[in-house]
Amino acid sequence: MTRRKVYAEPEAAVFNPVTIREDLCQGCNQCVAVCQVDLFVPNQKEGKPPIVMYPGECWFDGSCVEACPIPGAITLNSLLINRVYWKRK
Amino acid sequence: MPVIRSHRVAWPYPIEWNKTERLSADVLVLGGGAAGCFAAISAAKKGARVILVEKAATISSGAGGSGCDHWESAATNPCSRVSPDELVDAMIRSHDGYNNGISHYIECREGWDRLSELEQMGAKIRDSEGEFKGAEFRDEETKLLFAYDYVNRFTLRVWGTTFKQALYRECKRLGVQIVDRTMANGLLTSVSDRYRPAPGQKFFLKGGGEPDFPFYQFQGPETLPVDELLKLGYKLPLFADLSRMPEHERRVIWGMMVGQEGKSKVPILEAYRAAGFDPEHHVLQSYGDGWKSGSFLPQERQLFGLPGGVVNDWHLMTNLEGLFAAGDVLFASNCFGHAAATGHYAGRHAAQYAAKAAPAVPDEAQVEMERRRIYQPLQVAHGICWQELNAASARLMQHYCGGFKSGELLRTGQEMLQELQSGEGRKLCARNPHELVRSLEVLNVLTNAEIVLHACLARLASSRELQFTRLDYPALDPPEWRKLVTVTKTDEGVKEGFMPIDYYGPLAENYERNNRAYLDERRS
Repeated sequence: MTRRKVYAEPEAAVFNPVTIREDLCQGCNQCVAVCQVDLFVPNQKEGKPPIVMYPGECWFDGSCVEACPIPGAITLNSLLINRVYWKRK
Repeated sequence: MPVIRSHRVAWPYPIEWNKTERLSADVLVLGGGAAGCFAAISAAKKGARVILVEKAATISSGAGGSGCDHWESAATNPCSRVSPDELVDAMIRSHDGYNNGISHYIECREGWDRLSELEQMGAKIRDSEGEFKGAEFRDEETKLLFAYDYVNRFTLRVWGTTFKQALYRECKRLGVQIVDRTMANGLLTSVSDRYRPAPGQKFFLKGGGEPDFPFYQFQGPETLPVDELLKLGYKLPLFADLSRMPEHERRVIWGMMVGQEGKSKVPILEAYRAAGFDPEHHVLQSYGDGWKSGSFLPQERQLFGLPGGVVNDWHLMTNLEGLFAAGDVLFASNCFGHAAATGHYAGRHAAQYAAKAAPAVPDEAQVEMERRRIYQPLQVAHGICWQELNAASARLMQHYCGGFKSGELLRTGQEMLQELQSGEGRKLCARNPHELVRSLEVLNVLTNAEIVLHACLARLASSRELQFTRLDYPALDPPEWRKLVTVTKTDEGVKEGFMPIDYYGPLAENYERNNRAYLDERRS
């Protein structure tokens, strides 16, 4: 009743919500485990960074960054359209 | 569109469709946010066997999953100067009576119990380190921090990023069986046909705005329209000058609160800090014509703020026997504290009910029908994606259920919606479990749209408090329409009904009558 081959392909989005640094990430998949919107899927190569499969669905709650045991391995990027202005008093 | 095959990856998880697994429990909790976790905990403490099903990851999911910076209406905390009865009375009056008296009474009466329980589970609710020692909003004895009203002290500032992890651990400790990454699709028992919406299911249409910001002591950019601001000498753009706030206020807001509210910790506090924003020396631009962060379009009021939702009785049971509701699914719901308090309440009442009720029996014919419905998007090879249908339903509601409504517009909306449901709804195409879940969510969105359209058609009057304008019934708040509208899907179609605005009756009396065991436990 259902298709035999199941695959996914990274969806294009007009923004890039997260950056994973391949040189730091150990592929522990903690970010995959906590994400509320299933943004990532684990990499099939063990120890490699997860794949950002559905960037357009990001909620920007930052739970991936908080769950990551290696500081700097994953960054939540601010949307460019949300860039704000401040100035010295 | 050409498919670039090299980017495809095989689905990394085991494919389990067509597989059946049967689990059983006394209490089944759907959703592992604040309300669901507290429901699971209180039912388990009553001795029930509990299964909690969560679409994402219970440890971080829910509207307040990644954090929450304040806890409202904890009227029984040791520093509060208002009683639960006074506070809920004010909440009901401030919305001209259109409010969920039951759920907010539970919030006011039991919110502090839940916060104390969270503390016992290891969550942080006090400034034990003295970070804000001497601040006007800190109680020196209890080390609790208060927000907004420093005199009456019923809303607390809390370290909400610690809450969900504590709740998750407690569920585990109590033996709750947590089933993560699993979507609940239907209640397929012999009692009801199908829940979404099932026969007998009632929903409220309820809007509700903050009328003219009556709670603010002074008028300024938060409250005034832009032309009045300009007359008073304000110039655009406006800037927030945090440096002029008292130091404690600045640190507790641009620090603790922005850092404890889940969706602002990483994307705002940490990102602005990294970009060089210094709250002591910089002023931050406000966009638009003021700080009107809490303002909604009239039509949005029916879905946000104090929204419509499921009908509940004094057990928080819905009109479906054995189905209880808590948290944001309740009508006129609001915050984390409301979710926690109603979750605990619904969980213990469900456990009590389950102890006496006959087990629910799955209806195999319905299970088969539901299986066909759910797998449908996987059969479609060249259909439309869930994003497109989702966008179309949003546009449809903007056009036909907007700020100005009429019978003709709403009925056209119903026709168009039916076309989407029976047409494009059946052409949804999903290639893997992720897309399948999103597709099923969009079908639920269409059902919600159907409910909202029906309910809007049923209210034949306009209302200021509900921000509800019917061009064909322009009379504002005629006394005979001071009531709540319910819509129920039955085998014979949708039935409209009404409930008195004060359907909850005398609050303290009804609460105490329905919660003797809880009150006895607290006393001992």
